[in-house]
Amino acid sequence: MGHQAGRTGETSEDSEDEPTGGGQNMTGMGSLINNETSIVPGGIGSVISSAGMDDGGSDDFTKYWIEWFLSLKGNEFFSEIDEEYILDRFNLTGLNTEVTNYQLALDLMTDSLEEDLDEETRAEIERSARHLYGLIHARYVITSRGLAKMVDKFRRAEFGKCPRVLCQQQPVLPCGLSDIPMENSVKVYCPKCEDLYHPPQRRHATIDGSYFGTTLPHLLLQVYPNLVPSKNGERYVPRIFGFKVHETAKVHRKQDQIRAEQEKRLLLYGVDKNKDSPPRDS
Amino acid sequence: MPRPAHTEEELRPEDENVTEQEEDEEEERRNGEGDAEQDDQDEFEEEDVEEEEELQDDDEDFSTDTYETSGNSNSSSDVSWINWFCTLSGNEYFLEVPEDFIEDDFNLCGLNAIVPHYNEALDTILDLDLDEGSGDATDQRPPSPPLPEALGRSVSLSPTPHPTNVSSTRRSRPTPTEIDQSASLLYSLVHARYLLTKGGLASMAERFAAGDFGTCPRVMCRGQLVVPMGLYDMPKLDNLRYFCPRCGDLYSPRDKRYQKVDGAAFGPTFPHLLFLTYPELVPAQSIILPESARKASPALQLPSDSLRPGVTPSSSSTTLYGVGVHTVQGSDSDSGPGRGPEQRRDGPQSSIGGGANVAAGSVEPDMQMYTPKVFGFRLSELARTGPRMGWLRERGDDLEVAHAESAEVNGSRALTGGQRTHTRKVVGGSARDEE
Repeated sequence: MGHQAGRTGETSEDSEDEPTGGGQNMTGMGSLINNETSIVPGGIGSVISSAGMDDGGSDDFTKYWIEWFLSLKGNEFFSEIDEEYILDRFNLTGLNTEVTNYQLALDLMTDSLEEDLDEETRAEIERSARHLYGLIHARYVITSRGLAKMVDKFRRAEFGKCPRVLCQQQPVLPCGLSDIPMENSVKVYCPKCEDLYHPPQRRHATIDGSYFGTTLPHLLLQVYPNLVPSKNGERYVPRIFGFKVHETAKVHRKQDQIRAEQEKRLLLYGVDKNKDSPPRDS
Repeated sequence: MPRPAHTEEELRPEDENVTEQEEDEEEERRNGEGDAEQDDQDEFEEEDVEEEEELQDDDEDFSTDTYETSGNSNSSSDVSWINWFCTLSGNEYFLEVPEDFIEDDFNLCGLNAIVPHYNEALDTILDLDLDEGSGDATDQRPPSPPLPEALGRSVSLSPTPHPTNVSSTRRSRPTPTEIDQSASLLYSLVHARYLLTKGGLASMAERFAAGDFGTCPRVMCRGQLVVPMGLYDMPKLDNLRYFCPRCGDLYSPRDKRYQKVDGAAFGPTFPHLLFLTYPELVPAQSIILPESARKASPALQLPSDSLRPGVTPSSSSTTLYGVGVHTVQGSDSDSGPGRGPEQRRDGPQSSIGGGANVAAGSVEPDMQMYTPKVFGFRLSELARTGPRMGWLRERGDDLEVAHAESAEVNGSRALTGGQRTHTRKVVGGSARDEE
């Protein structure tokens, strides 16, 4: 309890139950901390590093690495991957080429890393472990269990809400723009306006989009169609002193036309249009 | 108010009782009293009991009290209230409204009905009433005598804000907090009006181009700069929103301090008037003012608007209107990470997607719209959860021909239908469904 908190840097001074401590853990802690600093530039990292140094005596490694990782500030988007899923090598196919120090990182993640590494190596492994976790996460969240966990988070709006005014605080889902790592940061997908937005919290803008993948929100809604919000088809109409703006009104007419055609098509194919809004008048 | 009451009566006979009362009140104020015993009948504000008591205790300290509670604005007299107000947290978007704009009663027409303690609020904003009691302040009020004779027009149009309000609120002394709130409210409303003037639009255009208001949260807008606005003209209905000129949509501010700002301080008209006044500020792939429209009307055309594909017209300098606006392109670097390169990326992509001779406006729609994909495959339109909102971000450039003015209602259905099947394939979501 106290160990974990110490690692997150929230309660730095509660070093009440440190039986052994030991230099080894101390250095390990330091390397973790350094790594944290390198990954999260700015204030958070430095806070954590100072806090970590303060209660370096705690033997944090008895805590699960994953648990600790998830408790870090900025990692709220991640869900917990089941241990069995990680331990099943089939699920990790191909990842060994993506991640340096693959085996060690995996060991660290599963808390089975022997602790006789110098600080620098450990920092490196730590980084690899985070990356590996992200990549496994991308695979895990599109399994049925992973989806269920993401649905829970979605229901609690842990990924934030749509910034669009007419979406009226619709909860969003994380989504990547690419499945290849290091290309884009994570975005959020609003199922109501079917568009992609930057995450509301800036600290989430540092998460790699490939840790969630391009598929997640759409597969999730496919699997849980009852979560698809009703699309009311509202649209903001610019007005000057109450009068519509000519050019915009023209565009809106075109939009209406496109929309009407789509609805016609859907009717033709007999698609259930309950989810859709009633036909709109301009 | 050194406003001769007889002129009021002449001009607005229906306000007789009001002006009479005003006369009384005016008398009171001239004598330096007229305050402090009745309780506040105002329903707008919650009153702070302690402050009320304190106020009654030492009445002569009233004015200083006001300004102390309002954040030491006038401890140093060189900082005006307006200046101070605009530096408050959350008020960074406000312009400093020139004092002569506020002093013109015509510009304040009707606001006295909305703002409680209108007179005090106005005095606060204009930094009158500083050291002496309210009685002296009326005499000393320097430029306020744009007397009704001088401004006959304004008087005849407006029910002369001061007098009517005097009658309603003068009889009880509002607490400093109330005055402060009223001053903020009044300033917000005046601000919304000022924004629509030439000077206001010019200043806002400058600030918009400098990226003062942040960027659009929508990914496909690629860091497009936004402007603040409100959904309603009336205060306290909704907070501040952002209008993105690229997707033409409204977004909530994600910064907490802006979530408390009243949207009425900017108003629903302002952004659209701004972009009609300065069309060069509208980005290239904008939904609100298509490229074709800009080209069509020569009045809106820019001198440097050569409009090669991939070159955003927003990059052209906007000195045309004498604004001295920074080029939008130049402000990319500080507006948001990656906006510049990404927008430049639109150019080549558009030529890849639509052929070499695409008009600047018709960038490949995929760049504008997000296409949901599962394992790399587009969702079918026929799926229950398939895409339904594609039209929202659709600019319908390809429908332009079909919509040639008069024929747009009836005759063009078939033609547009054919065109749509072509474009659907590009737009995504339903290429397969067409077959």
